[in-house]
Amino acid sequence: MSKTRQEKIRNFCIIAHIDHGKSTLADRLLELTGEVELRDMEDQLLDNMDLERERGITIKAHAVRLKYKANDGEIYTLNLIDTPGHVDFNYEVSRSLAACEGAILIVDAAQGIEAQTLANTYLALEHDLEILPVINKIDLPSARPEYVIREIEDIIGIPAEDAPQISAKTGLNTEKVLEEIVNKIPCPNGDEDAPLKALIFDSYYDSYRGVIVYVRVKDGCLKAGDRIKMMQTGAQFDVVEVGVLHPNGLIPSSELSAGEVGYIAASIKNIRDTQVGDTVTTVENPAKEPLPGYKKVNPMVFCGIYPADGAQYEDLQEALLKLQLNDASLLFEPETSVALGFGFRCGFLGLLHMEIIQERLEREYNLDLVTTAPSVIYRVHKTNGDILMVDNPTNLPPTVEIDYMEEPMVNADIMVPVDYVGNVMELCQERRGVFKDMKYMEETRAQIFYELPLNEIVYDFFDALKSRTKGYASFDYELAGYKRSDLVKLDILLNGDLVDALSFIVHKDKAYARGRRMAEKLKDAIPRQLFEVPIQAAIGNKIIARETVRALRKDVLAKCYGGDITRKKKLLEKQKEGKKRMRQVGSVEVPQEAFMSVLKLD
Amino acid sequence: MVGVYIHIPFCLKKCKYCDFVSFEGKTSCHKAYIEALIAEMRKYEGMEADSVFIGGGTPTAIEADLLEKLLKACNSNFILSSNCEFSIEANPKTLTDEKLSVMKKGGINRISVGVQSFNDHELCVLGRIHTAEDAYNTVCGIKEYGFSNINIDLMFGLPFQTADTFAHSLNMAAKCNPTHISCYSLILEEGTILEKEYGSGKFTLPSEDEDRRMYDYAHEFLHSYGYGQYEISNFAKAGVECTHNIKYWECMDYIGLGVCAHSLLDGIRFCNTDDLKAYISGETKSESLILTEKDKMEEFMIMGLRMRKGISEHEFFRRFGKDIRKIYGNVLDTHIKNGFIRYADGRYRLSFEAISVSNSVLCDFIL
Repeated sequence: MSKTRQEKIRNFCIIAHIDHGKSTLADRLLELTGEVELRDMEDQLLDNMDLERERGITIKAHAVRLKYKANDGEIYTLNLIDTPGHVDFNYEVSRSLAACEGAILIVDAAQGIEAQTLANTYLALEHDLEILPVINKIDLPSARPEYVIREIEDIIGIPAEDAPQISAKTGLNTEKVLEEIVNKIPCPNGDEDAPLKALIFDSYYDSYRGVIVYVRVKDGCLKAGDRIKMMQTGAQFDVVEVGVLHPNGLIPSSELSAGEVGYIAASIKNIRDTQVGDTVTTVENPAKEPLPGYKKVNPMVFCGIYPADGAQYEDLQEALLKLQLNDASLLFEPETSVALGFGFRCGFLGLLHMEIIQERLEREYNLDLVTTAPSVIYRVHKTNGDILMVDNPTNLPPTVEIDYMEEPMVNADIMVPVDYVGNVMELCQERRGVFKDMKYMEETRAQIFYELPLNEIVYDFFDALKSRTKGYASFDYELAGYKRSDLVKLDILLNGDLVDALSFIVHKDKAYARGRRMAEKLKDAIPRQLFEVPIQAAIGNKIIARETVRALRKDVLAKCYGGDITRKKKLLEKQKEGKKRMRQVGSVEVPQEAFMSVLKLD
Repeated sequence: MVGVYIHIPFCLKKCKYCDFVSFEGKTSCHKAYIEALIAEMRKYEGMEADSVFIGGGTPTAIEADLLEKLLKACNSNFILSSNCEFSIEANPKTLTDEKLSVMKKGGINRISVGVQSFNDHELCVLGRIHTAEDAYNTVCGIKEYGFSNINIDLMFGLPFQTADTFAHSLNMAAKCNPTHISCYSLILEEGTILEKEYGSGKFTLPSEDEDRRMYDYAHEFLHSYGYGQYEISNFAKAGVECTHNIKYWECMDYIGLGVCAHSLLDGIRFCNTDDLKAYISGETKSESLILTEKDKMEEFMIMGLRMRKGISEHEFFRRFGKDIRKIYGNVLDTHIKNGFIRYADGRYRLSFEAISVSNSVLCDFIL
């Protein structure tokens, strides 16, 4: 008996830790199914942003459709949905998972399971996905497949004895993965006759066609001409085109039916109308209720972004608007700083998200930026009973008006070889962590659970963790509500003038050390000026640290005659240029690097 | 009236700190070079000049007969004003009686002696070929030939130099009793031997603070000996400030003859080739730049403020037809407020404290 349409579809994603070979395996699968000609193969086809290739991470979800002729003679449609691999994008990951029936779990044969992998695997299990473990990098001399198999079985609790042992790099055994997908991952079983329910798992802005929405059709059927409705946002559109996601681009099709993955073009102008996780249905025959799991994502980390050159304010605004077209989670609103002039307060999902946006602004839009220290959202209880959410230290009310403050907490899950447990605990302790639990995964690795304040990990926690564990630790966290905390606002004064852009909120116990460290850093970053510049760190009216930038003593061209003028004038022009790039804070000229240098204090 | 600069790019030995265009040896080129100079001079035949400055390199490195030829050409080619300042640079060791006599006859009335230091160790480190004694004797010799307007170049902030050795050099300079003293802080120019040696740690230099103390001391010392400071590095007895150099600082016209010499004429700045061979064969031109109003205003300020008397607001208006306050009001006010610029009698000038950090002040006049 021939198979039904849905029986010949497999929707799956790949879960892997950074560098465990997700993109390489995806490339091999594309190659094996002949979807991409060898000559078109660019390494790591799926990660098509420069940043993604460089960092070896997936920032945006991608999806491709493959056609595979299996050993049983049937031709299957395989939809690979590539998910972002970072904790900042957890929600996106969960929506991508919800679009699949199965997940390939890639584990590096030398390194074993990492925290990120585990977190995403649990997420996949929550969505009832069939997990197919695959042991990668089997060609490495340090590969320990037996050990990794045991680890998968012990920690995740799924059988891994028959997991394909592959090398995505050399292509060894990769065809086995395709057979596993066909044989083990369940086919979709949507109701084609039911009202349309399609899950949005990604979208991007195309300047000609508007927002292109990536969907997984759960039930029903969708075609051009249908009037659709986003069940969460309520927005309605007329479908212009539907189609499938070929590796080389979008291919229109007559319709998208239950079980299929594809795209919708409907002249959608605003990406905010196409929230990831929303359910698409038809206006004519709407579904009774949306698919579960929708969440409005809220930024957790905020910082001020200013153009280094004030004249670039409009360029910055335009660039942010453009990035926002493709990134509904990026928030920004205008803000002014006495020190930095006109800029934007921007909200991000997390630290990586913030770094990515900053880098893209600088690279893709050629902007020179000054950013302020990242902040989280504090809950401020005022003496008059009001509750204020503060994401910018400058907006903190005066101390006398504050009854108490709360800060956001996270539950962190750190996996590390046992040798580094001490280092990790020390770090977490330094960051005001509260120890929750520790488990030994096997004799060599431990999983440590801490409750940590979010503001302690937004600075440089991940870097510190990596450096103290020689890169072996992996880290995952989830928000865990607010907790009352003894927080103070630390101000920096240059020559007696408050520099608003350098203020930040910090736990009282750490204020002294941080104030001192900031003053020291600033001393190095601020060039000597015509007069002495005192740098002070203060809490309220109390000065807690002081440094001094000595006055410039000698900056003179001793000789300047006829033949020197052109050259010496160039020197002065350069000096003037340098001055222009500095920010005038009261009477002090502060280079933009100074604002940045205090972001990394350790 | 213009100032005339004539460049002699030859030296017996190049000093380690020197980044001018100058060649060691090459004596075989001397004659052809002087002829090329005279040929270039012809282009300006009949021009009126009130200063001529023969510099180098080492002008006294050329032979007496060539020097004579050059001086004659200057006198016949230009119409020199009656009070024309006619300077030549001279180095101890190259200044013979014969050359002095040629100079006297050729109309030279000012000799600038490159002494740099009266400490033999410092001189040696700089790569100078003479001793302190040579320098002293040279100055005395010049006086015997009836030259009364004499400059001595001195340097401070030198490798191994101390407050004491510098004070000694200043004392010796005063003992020579010249009319004019140029007193420079050493600049380690890029690409010089001295810069490389410093980079490789061969010596240390006096700190910025020591350097400035030397400068302050020099200012005080020279003042007490009757040398008034009229520019950042120049001191003179009353009435004998260097006319030629003042032309540079006041952005007046000057023509430069010779390899790599710069000119400013009718608002165009141009510079000759730095290729000796090319120059001798008659290809002089290299680059030229038509100064814009902006260039002229900037240079008027950054050069003019080098002088202790500063710049005149009337002169600014006369040259540019604009009120200086319209262009530079804010900058001037800020620096006046901070005590780096003083205003009196229609003139703006740097305060003494500002001199040591003058770049930070002057760069604000770049528009």
